[in-house]
Amino acid sequence: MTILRSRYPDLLKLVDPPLIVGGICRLCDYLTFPRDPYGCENCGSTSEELDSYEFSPTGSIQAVVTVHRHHNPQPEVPFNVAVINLSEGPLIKGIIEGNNPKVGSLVKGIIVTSKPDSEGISWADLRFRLV
Amino acid sequence: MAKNILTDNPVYVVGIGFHQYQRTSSQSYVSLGLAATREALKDAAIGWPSIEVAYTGTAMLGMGASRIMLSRLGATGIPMTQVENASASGSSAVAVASLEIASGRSDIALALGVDKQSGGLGAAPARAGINNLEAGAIVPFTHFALLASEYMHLHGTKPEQVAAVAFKNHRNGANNPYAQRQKHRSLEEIMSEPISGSLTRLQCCPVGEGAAAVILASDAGIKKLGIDKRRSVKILSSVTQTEGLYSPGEGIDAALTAETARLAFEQSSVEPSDIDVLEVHDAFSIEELLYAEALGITKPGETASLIQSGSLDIGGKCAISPSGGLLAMGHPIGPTGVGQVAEITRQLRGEAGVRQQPNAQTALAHMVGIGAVCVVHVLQKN
Ligand SMILES: [Zn+2]
Repeated sequence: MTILRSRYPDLLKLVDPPLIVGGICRLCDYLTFPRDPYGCENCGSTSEELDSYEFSPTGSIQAVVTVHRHHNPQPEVPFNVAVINLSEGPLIKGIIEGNNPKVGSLVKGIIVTSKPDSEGISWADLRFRLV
Repeated sequence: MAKNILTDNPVYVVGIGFHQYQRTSSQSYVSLGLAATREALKDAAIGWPSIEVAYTGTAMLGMGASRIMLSRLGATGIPMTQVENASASGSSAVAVASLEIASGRSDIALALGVDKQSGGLGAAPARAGINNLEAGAIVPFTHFALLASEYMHLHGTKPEQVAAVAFKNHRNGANNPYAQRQKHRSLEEIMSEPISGSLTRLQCCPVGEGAAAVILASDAGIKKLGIDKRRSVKILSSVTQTEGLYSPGEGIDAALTAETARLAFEQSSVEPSDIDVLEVHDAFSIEELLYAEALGITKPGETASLIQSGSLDIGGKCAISPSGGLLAMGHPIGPTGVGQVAEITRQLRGEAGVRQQPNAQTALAHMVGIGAVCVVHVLQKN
């Protein structure tokens, strides 16, 4: 039997549609992705003041390129990478599935899974797809 | 605002030296560092016993690199300290050495940059315990390829115009005996071998090994040792900043450079239009466009056409990366920032031979480093 697990359980929630977990400062409302375990870069508050904040991984492409050379076998080249302006603010970078992503294209997060490993665990990663 | 103590306590570059930047080899870093230091001493026409303090910019050698090298010039017992600031380590070695002289504690200082890859711990930010979702798929060259994509989209710049930065810098490097890459490349060669986005292999800097050294002196030091003051170059300002929080849409890399440059110009009473020579952190071709504009030397979106017109070549309004820059001279990390100051000194002395920017009076050295940090020095002919 295959067990599905988030590769980054602190950052990626396997719900439908998926959610990514960043942080918000209780004192100044500053939003971050990823969540910062140490303190607020905006006001200096300690980690006790930082809550987790779930973002919907939707937004628009600010910049996009095709990667032709990569030091690891995964992801297989060529693959597309974009800077995504999340609807709720922060910028994140991610891998884009599908053809012809362009600056300004709207994207949403999807879950892709690896082939089950020897222990039957299939690892889930976040990718983006054109809306 | 921080006080510029260089205004009342002038600091001069009085000696420069290099070991050629090269691919990683079996040569010891000790011999690299010694070669650059000996050349700088010879250039200043002073002996090692005159050096009162030494700072070594290095990020990859590991602990305690200075004395094992420099004691081979004579174990004089002087204070020696390593300075690490990622890619800007050498620039920071120059920064603390100038502060040392300006403070009056020493009159003659060595700022040395030396490095070679040693398979050490690498960048601390990657070990800070802040995870990301990208699983290593977005490496530095892709970060800069994305900035290139954004720049080209914003300004309607074509990939071959970004590649023209590398064409210019490889051509300059071909005339620099200390450069790691000394080949004139055609635009076709530069545009081949794609790495990420529009960036190609020859639009990414080589990280090898090497050394660069500068000797700094106060007026008292120059007088005491009878150094030829006509060949000295004055450091007008030395400014270091780290990344702040910028407004959305402002690129972090350009915003950090703009803020550092603003302070450096303010403290030196020099305008961006006064800069005749710029040595810039062109680790990737796109960075030269971004930083020239952030420094205020060119206007947003116009740099590519200025490169096409030759106005940023040697002989143009401002020669950018006459050494070949990081793209052709190379980026051995520790030496890079020191090497920029050495190249600028050669230019401001009028001793750069075929690479000479005619009538160069004022110059700027700019490095950024992972973290992020930015270091800017403004220098002027004496
Ligand atoms: Zn806060």
